[in-house]
Amino acid sequence: MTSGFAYDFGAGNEELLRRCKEGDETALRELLRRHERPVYSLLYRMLANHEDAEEALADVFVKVWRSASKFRGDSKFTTWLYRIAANTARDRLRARKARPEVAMEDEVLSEIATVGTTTVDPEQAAVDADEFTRVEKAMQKLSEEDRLLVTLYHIQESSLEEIAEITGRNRSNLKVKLFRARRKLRAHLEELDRETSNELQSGTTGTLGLQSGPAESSTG
Amino acid sequence: MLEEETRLVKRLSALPQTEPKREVWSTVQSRLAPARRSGGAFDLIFGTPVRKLTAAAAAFVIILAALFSVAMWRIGVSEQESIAQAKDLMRVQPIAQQASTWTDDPLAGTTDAMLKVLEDETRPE
Repeated sequence: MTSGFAYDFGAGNEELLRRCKEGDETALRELLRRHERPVYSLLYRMLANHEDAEEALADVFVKVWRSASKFRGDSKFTTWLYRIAANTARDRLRARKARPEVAMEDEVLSEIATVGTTTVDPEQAAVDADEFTRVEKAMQKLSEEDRLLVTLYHIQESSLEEIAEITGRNRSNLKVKLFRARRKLRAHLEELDRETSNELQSGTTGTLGLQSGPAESSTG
Repeated sequence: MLEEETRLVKRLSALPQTEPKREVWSTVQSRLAPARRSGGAFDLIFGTPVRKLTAAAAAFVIILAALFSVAMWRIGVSEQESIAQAKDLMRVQPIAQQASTWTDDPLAGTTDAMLKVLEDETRPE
């Protein structure tokens, strides 16, 4: 937070957007402050890369600034914002297709996974981080569309109506797609859980940074 | 199956929000600069890649039109020169035409003499 910028807790999103239309940059900055984390979370889960996600985040809010006059108020501001974010992520993924897939680094994932956790106990925090890393890895194995649906529904907690607006898909199709996406995700998670449990049993340190678990610990 | 679904949903819901490692506002602000000039001719022409392309296409058409006009003007000039040359040539020709003037006596005075000769030959004495 830099000096000279005052938070505007009173104004609603639509009011801030109206001020953006009039050229008020502080209104845009307030919108960024309010929605940075959920939008970045969505972008990061889609793009699996910090740098790309940060660039995409900037792109999203520049588009919000430039398209402020196009928001008609038919839907919620967050629905409109997530639609811009989803389209921005899709454009970047399309542009990236010619280049090799950027692999997520486990260390980075673990670090990111601990942000926002309220656990004070370091051991619990480490367990949580491993769990989050595993789930994130499994999500990366999903298709772009499935990843978007799962992130919007289960992590951003958007409704099916909102997701239908964001993705441009039929609401009735979404339920089926979500069910199938969860099924695939479960399969990937089971695979990762099996790998982790094998590593624990063999007593080696795995790719997730796990050390020997309680079952292997020496007794008194 | 339901239990597995429930367990999965719980795991997903537990995922925390992530946040960027660096401050993004300065990047956003730097990209707003061209967009601030809204409605101006500069922004209209040079604001976005699409607009840049449109401006370049318009400039190309204008240059092409100018070159075409110059070319047509040059053709016009050379056409006028050709016409002037043709007129000069035409001025020479009338001299030949003037050489052949209309006359009732195409043999120019020799007709009567020839007729007299013919009459003398045909009229027996």
